[in-house]
Formats: sequence, structure tokens, C-alpha cells
Amino acid sequence: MNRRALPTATAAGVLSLALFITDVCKAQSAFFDEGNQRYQAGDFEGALEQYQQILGQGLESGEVYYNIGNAYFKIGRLGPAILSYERARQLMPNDSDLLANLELARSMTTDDIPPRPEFWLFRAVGWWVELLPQSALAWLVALAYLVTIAAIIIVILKPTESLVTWLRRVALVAGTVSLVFGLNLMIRELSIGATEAAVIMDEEVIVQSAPSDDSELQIFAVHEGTKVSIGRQSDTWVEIVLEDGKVGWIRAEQLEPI
Amino acid sequence: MKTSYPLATLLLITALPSLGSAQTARAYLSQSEVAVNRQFVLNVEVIGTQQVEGNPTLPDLGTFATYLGSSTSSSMQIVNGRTSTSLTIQYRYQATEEGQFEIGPVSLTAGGQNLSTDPLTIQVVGGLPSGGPTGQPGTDTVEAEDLFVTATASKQRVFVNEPVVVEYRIFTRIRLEGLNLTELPGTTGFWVEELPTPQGQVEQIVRNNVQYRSSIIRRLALFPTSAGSKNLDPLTLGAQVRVQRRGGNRFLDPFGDPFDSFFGRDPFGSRIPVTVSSNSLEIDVVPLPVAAPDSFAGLVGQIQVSTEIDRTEANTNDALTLRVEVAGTGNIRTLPEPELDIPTGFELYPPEISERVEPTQTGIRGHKAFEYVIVPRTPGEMTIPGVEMAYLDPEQGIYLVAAAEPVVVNISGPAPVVESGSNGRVRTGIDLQRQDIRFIRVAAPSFRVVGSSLFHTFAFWIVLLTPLLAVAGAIAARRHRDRLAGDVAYARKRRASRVARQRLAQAEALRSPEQHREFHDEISRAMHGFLGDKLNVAEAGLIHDEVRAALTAQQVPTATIDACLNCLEACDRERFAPNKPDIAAMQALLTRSAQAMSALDQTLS
Repeated sequence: MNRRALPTATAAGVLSLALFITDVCKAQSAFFDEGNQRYQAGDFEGALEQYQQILGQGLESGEVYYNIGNAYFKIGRLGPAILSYERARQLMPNDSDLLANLELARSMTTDDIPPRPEFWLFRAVGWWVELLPQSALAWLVALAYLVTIAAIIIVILKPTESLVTWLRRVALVAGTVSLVFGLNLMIRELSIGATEAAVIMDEEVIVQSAPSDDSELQIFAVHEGTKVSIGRQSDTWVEIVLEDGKVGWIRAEQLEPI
Repeated sequence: MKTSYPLATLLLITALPSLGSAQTARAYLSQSEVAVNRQFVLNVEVIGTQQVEGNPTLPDLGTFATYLGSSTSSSMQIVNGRTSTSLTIQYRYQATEEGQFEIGPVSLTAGGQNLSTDPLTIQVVGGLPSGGPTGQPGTDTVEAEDLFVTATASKQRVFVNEPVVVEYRIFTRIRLEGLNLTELPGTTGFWVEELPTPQGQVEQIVRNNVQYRSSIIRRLALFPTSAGSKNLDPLTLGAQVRVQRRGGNRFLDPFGDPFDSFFGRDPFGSRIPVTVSSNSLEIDVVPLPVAAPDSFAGLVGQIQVSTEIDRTEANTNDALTLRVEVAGTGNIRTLPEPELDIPTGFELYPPEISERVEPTQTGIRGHKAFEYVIVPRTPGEMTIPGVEMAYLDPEQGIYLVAAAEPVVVNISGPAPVVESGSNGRVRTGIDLQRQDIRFIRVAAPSFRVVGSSLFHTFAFWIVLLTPLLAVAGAIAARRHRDRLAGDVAYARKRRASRVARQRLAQAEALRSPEQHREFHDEISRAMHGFLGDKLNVAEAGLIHDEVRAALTAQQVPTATIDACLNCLEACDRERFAPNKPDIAAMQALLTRSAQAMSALDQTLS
């Protein structure tokens, strides 16, 4: 490859990444704005309809899920509200508004399940993985990676004494950033180590100790809005794990995976 | 409220001769016609005894009336040496159903005899009989001018919150034996202050040239709460009246000479209940004039305001008592606490409120005191501005302002430690009134395809791999440049084809029979230069055998070597040939040379 072609190709790559991240389809903003207007006018059902149109086109965003959660909350449906907040959280994990609303919605659910304390290292890793919103993370990694490469190329091609020490430092810092957050991005994108979670949708669900309707196997009840982890699955039954470690089976249609 | 008048009811004569033995019983009603919801009394009179054995058996009146209560009275009278005794039991009922009903006989036992009364009929009619007292028709009537109740208002036209004193007064010429208020007028739209009435005080009043005994039943101070025309319903009371049972129209006079009534009249007066209603009142309430001063709190009347402080010299943090007293007429009770303009540097605590209110002819007067505890926090001479309170003078119809003198206090002592932001006020936390979710996101977000992964996008791989290729390119470029700089043989070798190509191009330009010498010379130099560069030897001293040996050593195929050397030999031969070659041969040589060099370049690179 010709040397002069390299910067051109790199620029093209950055441009296409930017296009991917910023916008796929501008027309969705119209639904979003219309939904917001209906929400502000108090027509929460109408707002939901508009937001769902965006999802119906196969597009998503943290903000859309957040607004859907708000609209469901306003019409008193805690289960779908919490589900939407949880979905938004995967795209904008550390958003303060989102966390506040999710906490308020959770505090209004029937089940109060004290979560088991988590090992500090897992907590730290979890904090690191959820530190940045999805798009910001992608941008950061791309930028750090390109800065690293640019510094390396300059060092290779123009080994001027004064520049080299400085450029090496730049390359080291940017390389570390791209490595650390690249790993973060990879974990997020590939959902490594993430347990599949779901939210209970029915007002009250009787949990069985085995995938069967036998009334003798009823062990406890969970209520709308409770978040559970999904364990094994059969065709119609799902094994759920509560945050305090209780395990049981419920029918698949009684919950909605996040 | 139930007001009763313990008027003299019975005359007792000391002598008690032997009782007669013949007993008779009779029953009669207070009235034969009664309105629905009004009371009537079933009287059972037993003559010749003063007591009955057991309870009389009453007929069941449940179909048209409800039982309210009973009372018993007995009397003994001596007329012309004959002693007569009687016992009357009154059963009070309230009519509930319209129609004509029969009241069955009442049976009782008195003095060992079983007695029974005659059945009675009663007519219950709808609606209220209006005006004047209602009583038993026939001989035992009470005329309207004998007993009536009046309602008078001190004013017909008042401002909102200006008091009206309403007085209910009973006038009678007949003997009353008990009064009770049966219907109190509603006072909606008024704030009511009940004024005390002189208990049992009876006045003699001449009205319409007739002398009445009169007394006040009820006095109220009414403060209208809104403007408009207000109607006060009549007050209704029930009274027990003693009337002559038979004969003349004259009534017993309880306040007159008892002996006159005793000896001159029929001693068998009977008690009947009557109902009297007062007139209703209309009060016109005028709205307050506009442009009320800021300190106006709704008081209509006349007030004075004074402030007083317990001491004028104090240290910081000592508690002082500031007393604001409002005195005057009007609705003092509902007066809110005044707005105090306390200078900064004082801490003010909520006041302790005391009030004393007394009724007057025109309303109420009184005073209300607000005692504030104030704590000075900063030293210095402090002036507490006088309290101002506006009120509406109903006589003049204008707003006036009552103001108190300002109070000056001298505060000594150390200045307090200034707390940032406190400014003498008490700071409080913010309480959430209601929990709610935070607002939606309004700015248009960026969308991504549901379930898409970064790794599935073309852009990701471009961004990832392009820089890597760039690095590889950079490394190659650097190595090339380094060799060109430090390795002559490498440099010549890299240069060889380019130089040779240039020379061949020049040769092509000379391709014509006239310039065939220069043409062949140029091809020869291109070939020599190429070989010299490739083998890194001086091109001037190139001998064909040495070339063959060197190329063979570099494992160049013999065919390629031969092709090269053939071209050189052809050039040498043609350069010095006497006859001009044709264009085709020249072109063929050029092609051959280019092919030979190309083949050689491929093997040697």
C-alpha cells in the first residue's frame, strides 16, 4: 500500500465509525419528539405509542427506553416501567436520572428483597464496566486507539530526537486507555459474565419448586416489577433466581427478559 | 339550648281532709289536629286520687307518632270545704304520618279500681300551621296577642364582619309553665357570638296599649361572613300554658294576686302546650369598601393598638417579652396575629394569645393580647417599629389605621459568631412534598439497531485494521529508506530498472533509420547500466564473459543471460553496420531488450 494512502483510509474509517454511532436514521427523531410532546401534555398512552414506533423499526437508544419507563410509571404500570429502565441502563448505565427513577419505581414494588452483599472485587469490576455510556465508550476507545497508532507511525517515520520521547509517552498513555476501555467495550459488547435477567410482569406469580403446576410444589410468590436472574429454561418454564438467592420455576410468559 | 321557666305551678293549702273514694279517668288531647313533625300531648287525668298503681297501659300510636316522654303532675284543691284531688299524666308524642287516627283507651289502676278512658281521634295534617301560637281549639284557645315572640335586629344594613345583635323576646299576658326552644334558626353565613341573657328577668312592657310581661329568650351577635341579603329563619319555641278548662275566656295570672286567681276563677285550669314562632329577619350585608390598607385583617369596628416591652435594657441572648394588645369593638375573637416587622438580629418566636370578650348593646367589645418572645442576637440600639392595624369604621364607612408607638431597646453584650448564610433566620432542610420520577429526556438521542454489536459493523473493522496496515506500511517504508541511505549495492539495485526504463524510453524516441546509431547506443547503455547496477560493478568495464560468470553465480537461467548478451551483441553490430536497418528490426530489438531486462530483474530482485 502506498504511504500517502494511509491517512486517507484512516480518515475514512473514523468517518464511517462516526456515522455509525451518531445516527442510523434521522426519521426516528420525529417519533421521539412527538412522544415527548404527548408526554408533556399528560397523554402517556399516546407517548408510549410513539416511542414504541421507534422500537418497532428495530432501533433503540437509552433515552427512548428511559422515556418509555417514565410513561409506564405515570400510568401506574410498574413492571413494564422497571423493564424499560433496566433496558435503558444497559445503554446508559451510570445516568443519574435513570438510577433515581429506577430506585423510586423499585421502592414502590411489593417485593422487598435485600440483595446479598457482593464481593468487593466483583463490585469494582462492575463499576468499571458500567462507568461510561455505550457510545461514549466506543468513541473513547476509537480515539485513544487512533492517537496511539498515529504516535507510533510518527515515531517510525520521523525519528527526530526531541519528538520521540514525547511521542512515546503519548503512545503509552493512549495505548493504556484504549486497552483498558477496549477490554471494557469488549466485555459489554459480548456480554461476558452478564447473567441474563428478567422482570416479573404479572401482578402476582406463584413460584414452583419444579417446572410443574402441582400446587404442592408452590414455594413462594413474587410480584410485578421484581428483577430476577434467569437460570435454566425449558420450553414453557424458566428457572428464576432472586437477588437474595431464592430459586424457583415460573412460566415463561410471566416475565420479560431485559 | 333548652330554657325552662320554673314559674309557679302549684298552690298548696295546708289542710288535707280525707280523700274521696270515687275515681274517674278521662283522656284528652292537647289538640285534635296536629301538623306532621309537630308535638302533641295525650293527657290522662285521674280525678279523686293522687297516685296510680303501676304504669298505665297505653294504646299503640306507633303507626303515626313517636313517643317522646311523659310527665306527671298532681293537684289538690279545696272548694267550699270539698277537697278534690287529681293526677294528670302527660304523654308527649311527635306526629309522623298524615291522616286521621284513632287513639285507643288507656287503662290504669288507681285506688284498687281498674279504670279505662274513652277512645279519641286525632287528625294529622301536612304542613305547618302558620302564625301565632297553636293551641287546642274550642274553648281552650290562646290568642295571638296573648303570647308571641319577636325577633329584632340592631341594624338592618351592615358591612361584612360588622356585628348585628339579634334579640328574641317573648311577650305574654297569660300564665306560662315552661318554655323550650324547639327550632333554632340556622345561622349559615354568620359567625355567631352568643350573648348572655338575664336568666328569669321579667320586665313589664306596654305594647299596643296592652301591658305584657316580657323577657329575653336569646341574644346573638352575628358577624356576616359574606356580602348579600341574608334571611334569618324564625325561632320557634314550645310553651306550656295554663288555661281555663271551661267557662270564661280569662286566664290565670301567675304574676298577679294568687288569691284572686284562686278564689275568683275556676280552679281547674288545665295545661296545654302551644308553639310560638317569631318573625323572620332580613339583613342586608354590604361588601367592604375597596382599597383596603395592607394591614387590614377584616376587623369592622373600632380598635386601639399598643405595644409594650418588659424591659428596654437587655443583653444579647436574653429573652424579651413584646406584648401587642388590641382593644376595641368588633369581631376581636377572629382577629389574626399582626405582622411584626422585627429588625434582623432578633429571633422571633410564635406568640401566646389571650383574649377577653364581653358583649355590649351593639355587639362585642374586648381585647386580645399577643405576647411574643424575642431574643436579641446582636448588640446595639434596636427599634422595633410600631404595629399597625387597619380597621373599617362602620359609622363613617372608611378605613382607619391604629398604630402603636415604636419600641426602642438597648442591647448590650458580645456580638455573636456570624454563621455563614444564617442571617438571623432559622435555616431548615427541604422536605419533599411528594416523590415523583425525574423528567423525560427531550433532546433527540442517537439510535442504534436493536441487538447490533460493534463487531458486526464494517466501520469497527476499518478503524481497527487500517491503522495496523498503516503501521506495517510505515515500517516497510522506514526499512527501505534506511537501506537506500546505507547500502550502495541495494540502492543501485533498487534504481536499476527505473534507470534502464528511462534509457529505453529515450531509445524509443530515436527509433528511425536516420538515427539508428544513437538508437542502438542508447539500448546498449541501458543494458550496460542495468547490468552494472544489478551486479554493482562499473558499467564501463563490463566484459561479456564476466557478465555471464557473475549472472550464472547468481543462478540466473542461461536463457535469460543469453538473451541479454544477444541484445548487447546486436547493438554493437548494428552501431557500426554500413546499411541502415529497417524500423521493424529496431522495434524488435527494443522489445527483446526490455523483455530480457524484465526477466533479469525478476530473477535478481
